[in-house]
Amino acid sequence: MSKEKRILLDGKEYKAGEAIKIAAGKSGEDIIKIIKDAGIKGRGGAGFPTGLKWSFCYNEKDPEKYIISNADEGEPGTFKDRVLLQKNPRQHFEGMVVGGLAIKAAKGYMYLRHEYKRFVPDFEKVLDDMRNDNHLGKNIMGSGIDFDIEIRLGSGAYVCGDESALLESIEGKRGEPRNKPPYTASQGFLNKPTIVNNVETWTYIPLIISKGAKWFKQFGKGDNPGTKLFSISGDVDKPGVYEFDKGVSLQTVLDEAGAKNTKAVQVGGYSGVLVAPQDFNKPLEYGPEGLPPGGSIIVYNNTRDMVEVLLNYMHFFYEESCGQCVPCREGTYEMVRTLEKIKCCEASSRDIDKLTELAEVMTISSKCGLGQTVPTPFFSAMENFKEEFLVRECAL
Amino acid sequence: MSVLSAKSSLTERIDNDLNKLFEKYGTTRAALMPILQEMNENYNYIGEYIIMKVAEILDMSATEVYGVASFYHFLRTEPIGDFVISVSDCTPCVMAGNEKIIKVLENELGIKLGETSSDGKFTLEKASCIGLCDQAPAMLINNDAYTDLTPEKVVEILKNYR
Ligand SMILES: Cc1cc2nc3c(=O)[nH]c(=O)nc-3n(C[C@H](O)[C@H](O)[C@H](O)COP(=O)(O)O)c2cc1C
Ligand code: SF4
Repeated sequence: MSKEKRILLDGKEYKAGEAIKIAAGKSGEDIIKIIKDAGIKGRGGAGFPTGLKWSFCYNEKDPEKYIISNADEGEPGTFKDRVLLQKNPRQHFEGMVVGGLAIKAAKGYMYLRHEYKRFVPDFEKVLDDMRNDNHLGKNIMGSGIDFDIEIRLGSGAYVCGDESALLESIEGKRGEPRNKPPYTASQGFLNKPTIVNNVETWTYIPLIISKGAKWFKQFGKGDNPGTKLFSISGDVDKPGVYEFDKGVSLQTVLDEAGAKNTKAVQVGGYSGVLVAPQDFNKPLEYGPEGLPPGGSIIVYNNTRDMVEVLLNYMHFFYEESCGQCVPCREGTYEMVRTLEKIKCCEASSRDIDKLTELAEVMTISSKCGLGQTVPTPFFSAMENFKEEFLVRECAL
Repeated sequence: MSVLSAKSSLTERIDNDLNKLFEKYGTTRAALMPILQEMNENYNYIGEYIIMKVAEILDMSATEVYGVASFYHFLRTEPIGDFVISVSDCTPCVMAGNEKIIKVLENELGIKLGETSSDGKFTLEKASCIGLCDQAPAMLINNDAYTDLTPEKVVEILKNYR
Protein backbone atom coordinates (compact mmCIF):
# COMPACT_ATOMS: atom_id res chain seq x y z
CA MET A 1 0.00 0.00 0.00
CA SER A 2 1.19 3.46 -0.79
CA LYS A 3 2.46 5.41 2.18
CA GLU A 4 1.86 8.71 0.43
CA LYS A 5 -0.35 11.36 2.03
CA ARG A 6 -1.80 14.29 0.14
CA ILE A 7 -2.89 16.80 2.79
CA LEU A 8 -1.02 19.77 1.30
CA LEU A 9 -0.78 18.50 -2.26
CA ASP A 10 -4.53 17.90 -2.77
CA GLY A 11 -5.61 21.14 -1.13
CA LYS A 12 -9.00 19.54 -0.36
CA GLU A 13 -8.79 20.35 3.34
CA TYR A 14 -8.54 24.07 2.61
CA LYS A 15 -11.51 26.44 2.48
CA ALA A 16 -10.56 29.95 1.39
CA GLY A 17 -11.03 32.52 4.14
CA GLU A 18 -11.95 30.09 6.91
CA ALA A 19 -8.70 30.52 8.84
CA ILE A 20 -8.68 34.30 8.40
CA LYS A 21 -12.19 34.48 9.77
CA ILE A 22 -11.21 32.45 12.83
CA ALA A 23 -7.97 34.37 13.37
CA ALA A 24 -9.71 37.74 13.00
CA GLY A 25 -11.84 36.89 16.04
CA LYS A 26 -8.94 35.78 18.22
CA SER A 27 -6.18 37.56 20.13
CA GLY A 28 -2.62 37.28 18.85
CA GLU A 29 -1.75 35.19 21.89
CA ASP A 30 -4.54 32.71 21.15
CA ILE A 31 -3.49 32.33 17.52
CA ILE A 32 0.10 31.71 18.52
CA LYS A 33 -1.01 29.21 21.16
CA ILE A 34 -2.67 27.08 18.47
CA ILE A 35 0.51 27.11 16.37
CA LYS A 36 2.61 26.25 19.42
CA ASP A 37 0.28 23.43 20.47
CA ALA A 38 0.42 21.99 16.97
CA GLY A 39 4.20 21.79 17.35
CA ILE A 40 4.93 22.52 13.70
CA LYS A 41 8.59 23.06 12.87
CA GLY A 42 9.76 25.24 9.99
CA ARG A 43 9.78 23.45 6.64
CA GLY A 44 12.66 25.52 5.16
CA GLY A 45 15.42 23.25 6.45
CA ALA A 46 16.49 24.40 9.91
CA GLY A 47 13.34 23.07 11.60
CA PHE A 48 12.91 25.85 14.14
CA PRO A 49 9.57 25.61 16.04
CA THR A 50 7.25 28.02 14.27
CA GLY A 51 5.08 28.94 17.28
CA LEU A 52 8.14 29.85 19.32
CA LYS A 53 9.48 32.05 16.52
CA TRP A 54 6.14 33.84 16.31
CA SER A 55 5.99 34.37 20.06
CA PHE A 56 9.50 35.93 20.07
CA CYS A 57 8.34 38.39 17.45
CA TYR A 58 5.01 38.97 19.20
CA ASN A 59 6.77 39.83 22.47
CA GLU A 60 8.98 42.52 20.90
CA LYS A 61 7.92 46.00 22.00
CA ASP A 62 8.44 47.79 18.69
CA PRO A 63 4.93 48.04 17.17
CA GLU A 64 6.18 48.02 13.55
CA LYS A 65 6.50 44.37 12.53
CA TYR A 66 6.80 42.44 9.29
CA ILE A 67 5.86 39.09 7.78
CA ILE A 68 8.05 37.47 5.12
CA SER A 69 7.54 34.39 3.02
CA ASN A 70 10.78 32.84 1.90
CA ALA A 71 10.05 31.66 -1.66
CA ASP A 72 13.66 31.80 -2.77
CA GLU A 73 13.86 28.00 -3.17
CA GLY A 74 17.42 27.98 -4.48
CA GLU A 75 18.70 24.72 -3.02
CA PRO A 76 19.50 22.52 -6.03
CA GLY A 77 17.13 19.57 -6.25
CA THR A 78 14.31 21.46 -4.51
CA PHE A 79 11.05 22.34 -6.25
CA LYS A 80 8.33 21.58 -3.69
CA ASP A 81 7.57 25.26 -3.05
CA ARG A 82 7.06 25.83 -6.76
CA VAL A 83 4.59 22.94 -6.99
CA LEU A 84 2.75 24.06 -3.87
CA LEU A 85 2.50 27.64 -5.11
CA GLN A 86 1.32 26.54 -8.53
CA LYS A 87 -1.38 24.35 -7.00
CA ASN A 88 -2.73 26.54 -4.27
CA PRO A 89 -1.14 29.97 -3.87
CA ARG A 90 -4.11 31.30 -1.92
CA GLN A 91 -3.61 28.89 0.97
CA HIS A 92 -0.02 30.12 1.22
CA PHE A 93 -1.01 33.79 1.24
CA GLU A 94 -3.76 33.07 3.76
CA GLY A 95 -1.10 31.65 6.07
CA MET A 96 0.81 34.92 5.80
CA VAL A 97 -2.36 36.87 6.68
CA VAL A 98 -2.89 34.72 9.79
CA GLY A 99 0.70 35.55 10.79
CA GLY A 100 0.01 39.21 10.09
CA LEU A 101 -3.08 39.16 12.30
CA ALA A 102 -1.21 37.36 15.08
CA ILE A 103 1.55 39.96 15.41
CA LYS A 104 -0.38 42.95 13.97
CA ALA A 105 2.18 43.27 11.20
CA ALA A 106 2.48 46.43 9.13
CA LYS A 107 3.03 44.53 5.92
CA GLY A 108 4.00 41.22 4.34
CA TYR A 109 6.47 40.44 1.59
CA MET A 110 6.86 37.33 -0.48
CA TYR A 111 10.46 37.01 -1.70
CA LEU A 112 10.17 34.97 -4.88
CA ARG A 113 13.19 33.69 -6.74
CA HIS A 114 13.76 35.27 -10.14
CA GLU A 115 13.51 31.88 -11.82
CA TYR A 116 9.81 31.76 -10.82
CA LYS A 117 8.93 35.19 -12.18
CA ARG A 118 6.55 33.66 -14.72
CA PHE A 119 4.06 32.95 -11.90
CA VAL A 120 3.78 36.56 -10.70
CA PRO A 121 0.66 37.47 -12.74
CA ASP A 122 -1.20 34.47 -11.25
CA PHE A 123 -0.16 35.42 -7.74
CA GLU A 124 -1.16 39.06 -8.24
CA LYS A 125 -4.59 37.88 -9.32
CA VAL A 126 -4.94 35.78 -6.17
CA LEU A 127 -3.95 38.77 -4.03
CA ASP A 128 -6.57 40.88 -5.81
CA ASP A 129 -9.24 38.28 -5.16
CA MET A 130 -8.24 38.28 -1.51
CA ARG A 131 -8.51 42.08 -1.39
CA ASN A 132 -11.99 41.85 -2.90
CA ASP A 133 -12.98 39.37 -0.19
CA ASN A 134 -11.54 41.59 2.56
CA HIS A 135 -8.95 38.89 3.31
CA LEU A 136 -6.29 41.50 2.63
CA GLY A 137 -6.25 45.25 3.01
CA LYS A 138 -8.05 47.45 5.53
CA ASN A 139 -9.69 46.08 8.66
CA ILE A 140 -9.42 42.44 7.59
CA MET A 141 -12.71 40.65 8.42
CA GLY A 142 -13.51 43.16 11.15
CA SER A 143 -10.28 42.53 13.03
CA GLY A 144 -9.34 46.21 13.07
CA ILE A 145 -6.02 45.21 11.50
CA ASP A 146 -4.74 46.47 8.13
CA PHE A 147 -2.37 44.15 6.33
CA ASP A 148 -1.28 43.76 2.73
CA ILE A 149 1.23 41.62 0.84
CA GLU A 150 3.74 42.70 -1.79
CA ILE A 151 5.70 40.33 -4.05
CA ARG A 152 9.41 41.04 -4.30
CA LEU A 153 11.68 39.21 -6.71
CA GLY A 154 15.15 37.91 -6.16
CA SER A 155 17.77 38.31 -8.86
CA GLY A 156 19.56 35.02 -8.87
CA ALA A 157 21.61 34.77 -5.69
CA TYR A 158 21.29 31.49 -3.77
CA VAL A 159 22.64 33.06 -0.59
CA CYS A 160 19.53 35.30 -0.44
CA GLY A 161 17.64 32.22 0.77
CA ASP A 162 19.36 32.87 4.10
CA GLU A 163 16.76 34.94 5.90
CA SER A 164 19.12 37.78 6.85
CA ALA A 165 20.54 38.05 3.33
CA LEU A 166 16.98 37.98 2.01
CA LEU A 167 16.11 40.98 4.18
CA GLU A 168 19.22 42.84 3.02
CA SER A 169 18.07 42.23 -0.54
CA ILE A 170 14.54 43.57 0.06
CA GLU A 171 16.16 46.58 1.73
CA GLY A 172 17.98 47.27 -1.54
CA LYS A 173 21.40 46.00 -0.57
CA ARG A 174 23.84 43.32 -1.64
CA GLY A 175 22.48 39.99 -0.39
CA GLU A 176 25.16 39.45 2.22
CA PRO A 177 24.14 37.53 5.36
CA ARG A 178 24.17 39.43 8.65
CA ASN A 179 25.79 38.40 11.87
CA LYS A 180 23.40 36.42 14.09
CA PRO A 181 22.36 37.34 16.74
CA PRO A 182 20.43 39.57 16.58
CA TYR A 183 17.87 37.25 15.05
CA THR A 184 15.27 38.44 12.58
CA ALA A 185 12.41 37.88 15.04
CA SER A 186 13.75 40.86 17.00
CA GLN A 187 15.65 42.79 14.31
CA GLY A 188 14.63 41.83 10.82
CA PHE A 189 13.38 43.94 7.92
CA LEU A 190 14.54 47.54 8.48
CA ASN A 191 15.72 46.23 11.87
CA LYS A 192 12.09 45.75 12.94
CA PRO A 193 10.74 42.51 14.43
CA THR A 194 10.06 40.14 11.54
CA ILE A 195 8.79 36.61 11.03
CA VAL A 196 10.39 34.75 8.14
CA ASN A 197 8.92 31.38 7.23
CA ASN A 198 9.21 29.01 4.32
CA VAL A 199 6.41 28.67 1.72
CA GLU A 200 5.49 25.18 2.95
CA THR A 201 5.29 26.38 6.56
CA TRP A 202 2.97 29.24 5.60
CA THR A 203 0.81 26.90 3.54
CA TYR A 204 0.19 24.65 6.55
CA ILE A 205 -0.91 27.51 8.82
CA PRO A 206 -4.53 27.90 7.55
CA LEU A 207 -5.19 24.18 8.04
CA ILE A 208 -3.80 24.24 11.58
CA ILE A 209 -5.99 27.24 12.46
CA SER A 210 -9.18 25.78 10.90
CA LYS A 211 -8.77 22.19 12.04
CA GLY A 212 -6.80 22.61 15.22
CA ALA A 213 -3.58 21.39 16.76
CA LYS A 214 -4.94 17.94 17.51
CA TRP A 215 -5.88 17.31 13.89
CA PHE A 216 -2.37 18.30 12.81
CA LYS A 217 -0.70 16.04 15.35
CA GLN A 218 -2.41 12.89 14.05
CA PHE A 219 0.13 13.02 11.21
CA GLY A 220 3.83 12.46 11.67
CA LYS A 221 5.60 11.18 14.75
CA GLY A 222 5.92 12.50 18.31
CA ASP A 223 8.07 15.62 18.31
CA ASN A 224 7.75 15.97 14.55
CA PRO A 225 4.09 16.21 13.67
CA GLY A 226 2.46 16.81 10.31
CA THR A 227 3.26 15.73 6.81
CA LYS A 228 6.24 16.90 4.78
CA LEU A 229 6.85 17.49 1.09
CA PHE A 230 9.82 15.94 -0.70
CA SER A 231 11.23 16.93 -4.08
CA ILE A 232 12.55 13.76 -5.69
CA SER A 233 14.72 13.79 -8.79
CA GLY A 234 17.60 12.00 -10.49
CA ASP A 235 17.62 8.27 -11.19
CA VAL A 236 14.01 7.38 -10.34
CA ASP A 237 11.09 6.23 -12.51
CA LYS A 238 8.72 8.86 -11.15
CA PRO A 239 10.40 12.13 -10.21
CA GLY A 240 8.19 14.76 -8.60
CA VAL A 241 6.90 16.12 -5.32
CA TYR A 242 5.71 13.56 -2.75
CA GLU A 243 4.10 14.00 0.64
CA PHE A 244 4.68 11.67 3.60
CA ASP A 245 4.19 11.60 7.34
CA LYS A 246 7.13 13.22 9.11
CA GLY A 247 9.61 10.58 10.14
CA VAL A 248 9.25 8.45 6.99
CA SER A 249 12.34 6.41 6.11
CA LEU A 250 14.45 7.22 3.07
CA GLN A 251 13.88 3.67 1.75
CA THR A 252 10.10 4.16 1.71
CA VAL A 253 10.51 7.36 -0.28
CA LEU A 254 12.87 5.66 -2.75
CA ASP A 255 10.43 2.77 -3.23
CA GLU A 256 7.50 5.08 -3.91
CA ALA A 257 9.48 7.05 -6.50
CA GLY A 258 10.79 3.93 -8.20
CA ALA A 259 14.53 4.07 -7.51
CA LYS A 260 16.56 1.11 -8.77
CA ASN A 261 20.23 0.11 -8.46
CA THR A 262 20.71 3.08 -6.19
CA LYS A 263 24.29 3.84 -5.23
CA ALA A 264 23.86 7.09 -3.32
CA VAL A 265 21.21 9.64 -2.41
CA GLN A 266 21.77 13.32 -1.75
CA VAL A 267 19.39 14.24 1.05
CA GLY A 268 18.65 17.83 2.10
CA GLY A 269 19.97 19.52 -1.03
CA TYR A 270 23.58 20.07 -2.00
CA SER A 271 24.32 21.28 1.52
CA GLY A 272 22.96 18.02 2.94
CA VAL A 273 24.32 14.50 3.19
CA LEU A 274 25.40 12.04 0.50
CA VAL A 275 23.84 8.87 1.87
CA ALA A 276 25.05 5.33 1.07
CA PRO A 277 22.76 2.23 0.96
CA GLN A 278 23.57 1.09 4.50
CA ASP A 279 21.71 4.19 5.78
CA PHE A 280 18.66 4.08 3.51
CA ASN A 281 16.51 2.71 6.36
CA LYS A 282 17.09 5.82 8.48
CA PRO A 283 14.25 8.31 9.01
CA LEU A 284 14.19 11.67 7.26
CA GLU A 285 13.98 13.48 10.55
CA TYR A 286 15.92 15.66 12.98
CA GLY A 287 17.93 13.77 15.55
CA PRO A 288 21.23 11.94 15.85
CA GLU A 289 20.05 8.90 13.88
CA GLY A 290 18.14 10.92 11.33
CA LEU A 291 18.85 12.31 7.88
CA PRO A 292 18.29 16.00 6.97
CA PRO A 293 14.53 16.43 6.47
CA GLY A 294 14.75 19.58 4.30
CA GLY A 295 12.90 17.87 1.49
CA SER A 296 15.29 17.57 -1.44
CA ILE A 297 16.25 14.07 -2.56
CA ILE A 298 18.53 13.47 -5.55
CA VAL A 299 19.04 9.83 -6.47
CA TYR A 300 22.22 8.48 -8.10
CA ASN A 301 22.33 4.96 -9.55
CA ASN A 302 25.40 2.75 -9.76
CA THR A 303 26.60 4.24 -13.06
CA ARG A 304 27.23 7.65 -11.47
CA ASP A 305 30.63 9.06 -10.62
CA MET A 306 30.79 10.54 -7.12
CA VAL A 307 33.80 12.71 -7.97
CA GLU A 308 31.84 14.44 -10.72
CA VAL A 309 28.86 14.78 -8.42
CA LEU A 310 30.87 16.43 -5.65
CA LEU A 311 32.68 18.65 -8.15
CA ASN A 312 29.32 19.87 -9.46
CA TYR A 313 28.26 20.75 -5.88
CA MET A 314 31.48 22.61 -5.15
CA HIS A 315 31.23 24.53 -8.39
CA PHE A 316 27.79 25.66 -7.33
CA PHE A 317 28.98 26.77 -3.88
CA TYR A 318 32.00 28.54 -5.35
CA GLU A 319 29.70 30.48 -7.72
CA GLU A 320 27.20 31.28 -4.97
CA SER A 321 29.52 32.20 -2.08
CA CYS A 322 28.91 35.89 -1.40
CA GLY A 323 32.61 36.32 -0.74
CA GLN A 324 32.23 38.08 2.61
CA CYS A 325 34.35 35.65 4.59
CA VAL A 326 37.70 34.21 3.64
CA PRO A 327 37.15 30.56 4.69
CA CYS A 328 34.09 30.27 2.48
CA ARG A 329 35.41 32.29 -0.46
CA GLU A 330 38.81 30.62 -0.60
CA GLY A 331 37.61 27.27 0.68
CA THR A 332 35.07 26.76 -2.10
CA TYR A 333 37.73 27.72 -4.65
CA GLU A 334 40.18 25.23 -3.16
CA MET A 335 37.52 22.51 -3.15
CA VAL A 336 36.90 23.00 -6.87
CA ARG A 337 40.60 23.13 -7.70
CA THR A 338 41.48 19.96 -5.80
CA LEU A 339 38.45 18.04 -7.05
CA GLU A 340 39.45 18.94 -10.63
CA LYS A 341 42.83 17.45 -9.79
CA ILE A 342 41.19 14.33 -8.39
CA LYS A 343 39.03 14.06 -11.49
CA CYS A 344 42.15 14.09 -13.67
CA CYS A 345 43.81 11.44 -11.46
CA GLU A 346 46.50 13.85 -10.36
CA ALA A 347 45.73 13.97 -6.65
CA SER A 348 47.05 11.94 -3.75
CA SER A 349 45.73 11.18 -0.27
CA ARG A 350 47.63 14.27 0.93
CA ASP A 351 45.33 16.46 -1.16
CA ILE A 352 42.32 14.82 0.42
CA ASP A 353 43.78 15.31 3.90
CA LYS A 354 44.28 18.99 3.14
CA LEU A 355 40.71 19.34 1.97
CA THR A 356 39.52 17.64 5.12
CA GLU A 357 41.38 20.15 7.27
CA LEU A 358 40.03 23.00 5.19
CA ALA A 359 36.49 21.63 5.49
CA GLU A 360 36.80 21.59 9.27
CA VAL A 361 37.88 25.25 9.29
CA MET A 362 34.99 26.22 7.00
CA THR A 363 32.44 24.53 9.24
CA ILE A 364 33.45 26.44 12.33
CA SER A 365 34.53 29.82 10.94
CA SER A 366 32.07 30.70 8.18
CA LYS A 367 29.55 33.41 8.90
CA CYS A 368 26.41 31.86 7.44
CA GLY A 369 24.83 28.52 6.70
CA LEU A 370 26.23 28.44 3.19
CA GLY A 371 29.89 28.29 4.20
CA GLN A 372 29.12 26.21 7.26
CA THR A 373 27.43 23.44 5.28
CA VAL A 374 29.62 23.29 2.16
CA PRO A 375 31.69 20.63 3.96
CA THR A 376 28.66 18.44 4.79
CA PRO A 377 28.45 16.63 1.43
CA PHE A 378 32.26 16.47 1.32
CA PHE A 379 32.48 14.71 4.69
CA SER A 380 29.79 12.18 3.80
CA ALA A 381 31.38 11.52 0.41
CA MET A 382 34.66 10.80 2.21
CA GLU A 383 32.95 8.56 4.71
CA ASN A 384 31.08 6.54 2.12
CA PHE A 385 32.94 6.76 -1.16
CA LYS A 386 36.54 7.62 -0.34
CA GLU A 387 37.95 4.91 -2.53
CA GLU A 388 36.51 6.56 -5.63
CA PHE A 389 38.42 9.69 -4.77
CA LEU A 390 41.71 7.85 -4.24
CA VAL A 391 41.74 5.65 -7.29
CA ARG A 392 39.94 6.40 -10.52
CA GLU A 393 39.54 4.45 -13.71
CA CYS A 394 41.86 6.85 -15.49
CA ALA A 395 44.71 5.94 -13.16
CA LEU A 396 44.63 2.27 -14.05
CA MET B 1 19.25 60.88 -37.22
CA SER B 2 22.62 62.09 -35.98
CA VAL B 3 24.50 60.14 -33.34
CA LEU B 4 24.04 62.95 -30.88
CA SER B 5 20.28 63.14 -31.06
CA ALA B 6 19.97 59.37 -30.96
CA LYS B 7 21.91 59.47 -27.73
CA SER B 8 19.87 62.21 -26.15
CA SER B 9 16.63 60.48 -27.06
CA LEU B 10 17.86 57.37 -25.27
CA THR B 11 18.63 59.31 -22.11
CA GLU B 12 15.22 60.95 -22.37
CA ARG B 13 13.61 57.55 -22.58
CA ILE B 14 15.56 56.37 -19.58
CA ASP B 15 14.61 59.50 -17.60
CA ASN B 16 10.97 58.93 -18.46
CA ASP B 17 11.05 55.29 -17.43
CA LEU B 18 12.84 56.10 -14.20
CA ASN B 19 10.36 58.80 -13.28
CA LYS B 20 7.54 56.32 -13.65
CA LEU B 21 9.38 53.80 -11.49
CA PHE B 22 10.14 56.35 -8.76
CA GLU B 23 6.45 57.16 -8.71
CA LYS B 24 5.53 53.48 -8.45
CA TYR B 25 8.12 52.35 -5.89
CA GLY B 26 9.08 55.57 -4.11
CA THR B 27 12.59 56.86 -3.55
CA THR B 28 13.63 55.02 -0.40
CA ARG B 29 16.47 52.54 -0.46
CA ALA B 30 13.98 49.64 -0.39
CA ALA B 31 12.86 50.74 -3.87
CA LEU B 32 16.27 49.99 -5.34
CA MET B 33 15.87 46.32 -6.27
CA PRO B 34 12.54 46.57 -8.12
CA ILE B 35 13.74 49.68 -9.95
CA LEU B 36 16.96 48.00 -11.07
CA GLN B 37 15.04 44.84 -11.99
CA GLU B 38 12.59 46.73 -14.19
CA MET B 39 15.31 48.82 -15.85
CA ASN B 40 17.27 45.65 -16.49
CA GLU B 41 14.19 44.18 -18.15
CA ASN B 42 13.58 47.30 -20.27
CA TYR B 43 17.15 47.92 -21.44
CA ASN B 44 18.55 44.40 -20.97
CA TYR B 45 21.38 45.77 -18.84
CA ILE B 46 22.03 48.51 -16.32
CA GLY B 47 24.40 50.96 -17.90
CA GLU B 48 26.36 53.84 -16.42
CA TYR B 49 23.71 56.46 -17.09
CA ILE B 50 21.02 54.45 -15.30
CA ILE B 51 23.33 53.87 -12.34
CA MET B 52 24.12 57.60 -12.04
CA LYS B 53 20.47 58.63 -12.28
CA VAL B 54 19.26 56.08 -9.76
CA ALA B 55 22.06 57.03 -7.37
CA GLU B 56 21.13 60.70 -7.63
CA ILE B 57 17.44 60.21 -6.88
CA LEU B 58 17.85 57.57 -4.16
CA ASP B 59 20.59 59.66 -2.58
CA MET B 60 23.23 56.96 -2.81
CA SER B 61 26.68 56.95 -4.35
CA ALA B 62 26.99 55.49 -7.85
CA THR B 63 29.51 52.98 -6.45
CA GLU B 64 26.91 51.71 -4.03
CA VAL B 65 24.30 51.26 -6.74
CA TYR B 66 26.87 49.50 -8.90
CA GLY B 67 27.82 47.32 -5.92
CA VAL B 68 24.23 46.12 -5.61
CA ALA B 69 23.69 45.64 -9.35
CA SER B 70 26.89 43.64 -9.76
CA PHE B 71 26.06 41.35 -6.82
CA TYR B 72 23.06 39.73 -8.51
CA HIS B 73 23.43 37.30 -11.39
CA PHE B 74 20.30 38.42 -13.22
CA LEU B 75 21.09 42.12 -12.97
CA ARG B 76 23.54 42.80 -15.77
CA THR B 77 26.05 45.62 -15.86
CA GLU B 78 27.20 44.80 -19.41
CA PRO B 79 25.07 44.49 -22.56
CA ILE B 80 23.66 41.02 -23.06
CA GLY B 81 21.50 39.21 -25.63
CA ASP B 82 17.79 40.03 -25.98
CA PHE B 83 17.10 36.41 -25.19
CA VAL B 84 19.16 34.87 -22.42
CA ILE B 85 19.12 31.09 -22.53
CA SER B 86 19.94 29.60 -19.12
CA VAL B 87 20.47 25.85 -19.15
CA SER B 88 20.09 24.35 -15.70
CA ASP B 89 23.25 22.69 -14.42
CA CYS B 90 22.17 20.85 -11.26
CA THR B 91 23.07 17.16 -11.11
CA PRO B 92 19.54 15.97 -12.10
CA CYS B 93 19.84 18.06 -15.28
CA VAL B 94 23.41 16.88 -15.89
CA MET B 95 22.31 13.24 -15.52
CA ALA B 96 19.43 13.84 -17.91
CA GLY B 97 21.90 15.02 -20.54
CA ASN B 98 22.14 18.81 -20.35
CA GLU B 99 25.55 18.65 -22.11
CA LYS B 100 23.79 17.45 -25.25
CA ILE B 101 21.28 20.27 -24.99
CA ILE B 102 24.08 22.82 -24.63
CA LYS B 103 25.88 21.36 -27.66
CA VAL B 104 22.74 21.63 -29.81
CA LEU B 105 22.21 25.21 -28.68
CA GLU B 106 25.83 26.07 -29.46
CA ASN B 107 25.54 24.62 -32.94
CA GLU B 108 22.17 26.18 -33.70
CA LEU B 109 23.16 29.62 -32.47
CA GLY B 110 26.75 29.53 -33.71
CA ILE B 111 28.09 30.59 -30.31
CA LYS B 112 29.81 28.93 -27.38
CA LEU B 113 28.58 28.73 -23.80
CA GLY B 114 29.00 32.16 -22.20
CA GLU B 115 28.85 34.04 -25.50
CA THR B 116 26.35 36.39 -27.15
CA SER B 117 25.46 36.05 -30.85
CA SER B 118 26.86 38.77 -33.11
CA ASP B 119 23.38 40.17 -33.83
CA GLY B 120 22.93 40.66 -30.08
CA LYS B 121 19.92 38.39 -30.00
CA PHE B 122 21.00 35.37 -27.94
CA THR B 123 23.20 34.78 -24.93
CA LEU B 124 23.88 31.19 -23.84
CA GLU B 125 24.64 30.43 -20.21
CA LYS B 126 24.60 27.64 -17.66
CA ALA B 127 22.44 28.39 -14.62
CA SER B 128 22.35 27.06 -11.08
CA CYS B 129 19.32 24.84 -10.48
CA ILE B 130 16.13 26.46 -11.84
CA GLY B 131 13.77 24.31 -9.77
CA LEU B 132 12.60 21.97 -12.53
CA CYS B 133 14.62 18.87 -11.63
CA ASP B 134 11.53 16.67 -11.97
CA GLN B 135 11.38 17.61 -15.66
CA ALA B 136 15.10 17.57 -16.46
CA PRO B 137 16.84 18.67 -18.56
CA ALA B 138 15.36 22.13 -18.34
CA MET B 139 16.16 25.67 -19.37
CA LEU B 140 14.83 29.21 -19.18
CA ILE B 141 14.67 31.63 -22.09
CA ASN B 142 14.33 34.93 -20.28
CA ASN B 143 11.41 34.18 -17.93
CA ASP B 144 9.90 31.26 -19.78
CA ALA B 145 10.60 27.67 -18.78
CA TYR B 146 11.18 24.72 -21.11
CA THR B 147 11.32 21.21 -19.72
CA ASP B 148 12.02 17.58 -20.63
CA LEU B 149 14.29 18.87 -23.39
CA THR B 150 15.51 16.81 -26.31
CA PRO B 151 17.70 18.02 -29.19
CA GLU B 152 14.69 18.08 -31.57
CA LYS B 153 12.62 19.97 -29.05
CA VAL B 154 15.35 22.59 -28.67
CA VAL B 155 15.46 23.19 -32.43
CA GLU B 156 11.67 23.65 -32.47
CA ILE B 157 11.72 26.02 -29.49
CA LEU B 158 14.38 28.22 -31.06
CA LYS B 159 12.19 28.74 -34.14
CA ASN B 160 9.83 30.82 -31.98
CA TYR B 161 12.62 33.24 -31.13
CA ARG B 162 14.17 33.84 -34.54
C1 LIG C 1 22.43 29.69 2.14
C2 LIG C 1 21.04 29.48 2.66
C3 LIG C 1 19.99 29.33 1.78
C4 LIG C 1 18.68 29.17 2.26
N1 LIG C 1 17.68 29.03 1.33
C5 LIG C 1 16.40 28.92 1.80
C6 LIG C 1 15.32 28.85 0.86
O1 LIG C 1 15.51 28.87 -0.36
N2 LIG C 1 14.06 28.75 1.35
C7 LIG C 1 13.80 28.73 2.70
O2 LIG C 1 12.64 28.68 3.12
N3 LIG C 1 14.80 28.80 3.59
C8 LIG C 1 16.09 28.90 3.18
N4 LIG C 1 17.10 29.00 4.10
C9 LIG C 1 16.73 29.00 5.54
C10 LIG C 1 16.26 30.38 5.98
O3 LIG C 1 17.37 31.13 6.44
C11 LIG C 1 15.24 30.30 7.13
O4 LIG C 1 15.74 29.46 8.12
C12 LIG C 1 13.87 29.79 6.72
O5 LIG C 1 13.35 30.55 5.68
C13 LIG C 1 12.94 29.86 7.91
O6 LIG C 1 11.67 29.32 7.58
P1 LIG C 1 11.04 28.09 8.37
O7 LIG C 1 11.24 28.33 9.84
O8 LIG C 1 9.62 28.12 7.96
O9 LIG C 1 11.76 26.87 7.91
C14 LIG C 1 18.43 29.15 3.65
C15 LIG C 1 19.49 29.28 4.53
C16 LIG C 1 20.79 29.45 4.06
C17 LIG C 1 21.89 29.62 5.04
S1 SF4 D 1 29.82 31.82 4.67
FE1 SF4 D 1 30.09 32.26 2.46
S2 SF4 D 1 28.07 32.87 1.75
FE2 SF4 D 1 28.02 32.97 4.02
S3 SF4 D 1 28.56 35.08 4.53
FE3 SF4 D 1 30.49 33.94 4.45
S4 SF4 D 1 31.24 34.16 2.33
FE4 SF4 D 1 29.09 34.75 2.35
